Amino acid sequence: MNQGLELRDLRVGYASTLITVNMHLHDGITVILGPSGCGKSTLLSTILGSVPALSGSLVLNEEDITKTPIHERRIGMVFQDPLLFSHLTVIQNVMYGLRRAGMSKVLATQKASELLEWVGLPGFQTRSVQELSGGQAQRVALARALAPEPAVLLLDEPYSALDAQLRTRLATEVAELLRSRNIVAIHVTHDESEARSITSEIFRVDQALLAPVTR
Amino acid sequence: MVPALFLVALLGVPIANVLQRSFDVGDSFEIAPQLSIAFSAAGQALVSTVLATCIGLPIAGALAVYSFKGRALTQAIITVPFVLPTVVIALAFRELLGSVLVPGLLLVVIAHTYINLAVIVRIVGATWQQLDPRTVTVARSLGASPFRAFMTVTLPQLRASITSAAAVVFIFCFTSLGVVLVLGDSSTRTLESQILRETSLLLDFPTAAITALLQLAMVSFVLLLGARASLKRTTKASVLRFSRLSLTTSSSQRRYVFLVATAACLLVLIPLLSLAYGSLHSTYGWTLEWWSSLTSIDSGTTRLGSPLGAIATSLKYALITGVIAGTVGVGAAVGVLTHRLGRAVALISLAPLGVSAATLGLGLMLAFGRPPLDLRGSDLLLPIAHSIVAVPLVIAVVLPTLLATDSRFAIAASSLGASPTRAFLTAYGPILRIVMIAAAGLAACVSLGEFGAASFLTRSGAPTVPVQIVRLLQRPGEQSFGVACALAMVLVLGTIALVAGIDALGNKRRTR
Repeated sequence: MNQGLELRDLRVGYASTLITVNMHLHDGITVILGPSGCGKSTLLSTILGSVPALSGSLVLNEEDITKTPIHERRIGMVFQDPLLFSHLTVIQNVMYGLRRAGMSKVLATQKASELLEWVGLPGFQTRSVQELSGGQAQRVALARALAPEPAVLLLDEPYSALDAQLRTRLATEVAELLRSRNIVAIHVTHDESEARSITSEIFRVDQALLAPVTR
Repeated sequence: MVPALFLVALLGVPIANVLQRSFDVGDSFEIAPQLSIAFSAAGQALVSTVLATCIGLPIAGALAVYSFKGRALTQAIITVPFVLPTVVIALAFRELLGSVLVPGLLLVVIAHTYINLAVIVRIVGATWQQLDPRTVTVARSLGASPFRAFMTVTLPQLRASITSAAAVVFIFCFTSLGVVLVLGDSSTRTLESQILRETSLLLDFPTAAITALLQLAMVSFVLLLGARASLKRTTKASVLRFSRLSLTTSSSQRRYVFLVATAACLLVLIPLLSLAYGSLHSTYGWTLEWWSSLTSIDSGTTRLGSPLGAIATSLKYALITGVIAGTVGVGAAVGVLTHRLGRAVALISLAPLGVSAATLGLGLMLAFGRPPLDLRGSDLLLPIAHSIVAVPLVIAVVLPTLLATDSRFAIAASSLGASPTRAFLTAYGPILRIVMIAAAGLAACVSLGEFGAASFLTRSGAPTVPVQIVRLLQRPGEQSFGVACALAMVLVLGTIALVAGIDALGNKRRTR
């Protein structure tokens, strides 16, 4: 059985930033390093399904998902901005994916509360998302992305808007949380020290290809 | 507060004159007929509003979210029906569908939907293009289908502007005059057409005044709902600026946008094409006779005045209206935003929506058509009426944009030592310049197409284009109809140029 996410000759990007990727992600966190504008975010958007691949294929747990619509891929994403739904409360944001999956309100509330506790925000359920700090909002975004138990989680420079101290702390904490849940994750960043604080599985965008980074 | 008070003065005096007449009503007066008309007009307006909203939303979304070639032109084309004289549009539909549909509710609803699409597209689109498209991507990644993501993420964030736009559309349909006169039957009467009937046919001014009061009450109720919705601030997540999505992202999106934009343009253009056909066609085939008749003094239709003269008159009034309504409207919108009595300013500024054009024209004629302030000889009376009509629209367009501007820039500027005025200009100055130009342009468009008040206030020797068109249509004969179509086409082309110019200017400033 070939479990995990496979990127087979996946060609993504636009005229000036084309990347060809061959990767097989089984578990744990993989970090992709590269300067701004090199196509890292486009790669994540292609894996997510919001940008079509130019060629190649995406295989998740032996199923070709290259043409599968976003909402049927079971891939979650946390963006640079938290992008919380401003018309919903904190817990309603976390419950969003659970409700779409058909979970009852009672069970969704219970699971969302557990996730909020897990990301260190107990008691935040009924708060407006406008009241949250940058770090708190990003934790809610993480809990929301994890709630429907995606097969893969994509993290697109999720801490770039935070200060250095909070960024390092949150990156380490979240990496541990993801490991404890055995979640396959791809974390994109341009900060090498942040990358090294997360994992040793680091790849760099180099001459339109992904190359492993050695210590 | 000053612009709002100015508006109160302009509106209050003529309304007071009309109301004064309502006290002269006789003992035999009964309200039942008016109530019956009010309820049937409300039903018609509701159906028209729902249809305009359902058709307008996909168009607003395609224009707000996606970047594509021809976007500005599509937006300009969609705006055109709203600024054209309603009588012209009604005639275009009668020409287009008259052979398959008899005058009545269906034709009235179709024409109202057509005219008001632009209100939905413009007002809702202004808010929609401030929303981050990535929130929809997030919802999709959490398992929501495209429809579900729209219903649960996009729609709730648009609710305030949809309610606001729908209230405006409802009022326009509820107080419709031109469309109802040309395309309606006895079952589609509005209180507006009833006022006209009571004043011009029955000469019963006290009853007309009471009918106007009833209309004012019903419209005020809808206005209250709309104003309440538009005062809700758009959330912080929505104030960030994002570029529109490129159409290269997906072929299904390309198909969707192409389909929506093409359908919208066809929907708008087909009735206008029938007008163009009328301006270039006679019983003997294709002709330019009607166009060449625009330059002659009487076009063979004696005592009507020159069609070119009507164009010059309309342009002059549009310019004056743009200056007055742009200044008053933007001033009032700023008052809503900054004054502690902002809610009151909003209500005062939207009040003209509740007053029908015919009532306004009649009131202004009674108030300023005789000493001590006789404005009949000046060029101000009609632009004042047009400004009163245009100000609520200006506010409806300007206010959501100002509300969506991040006020924290003003706080930041204040913390750096800026005076309150300087801090306000720092935060809102750049967007204010854009919206003032857009507001003046919108008011000018309203002036170009307005018919109700103009029919009361225009001087017989210097009619506006819509009045001239109606005068031509009232005369039998192919030539009158052909010249009217040609004149209407001049208005159509001028309006497209004006709206495209406003859009281009706005985009240019936005990219600086």
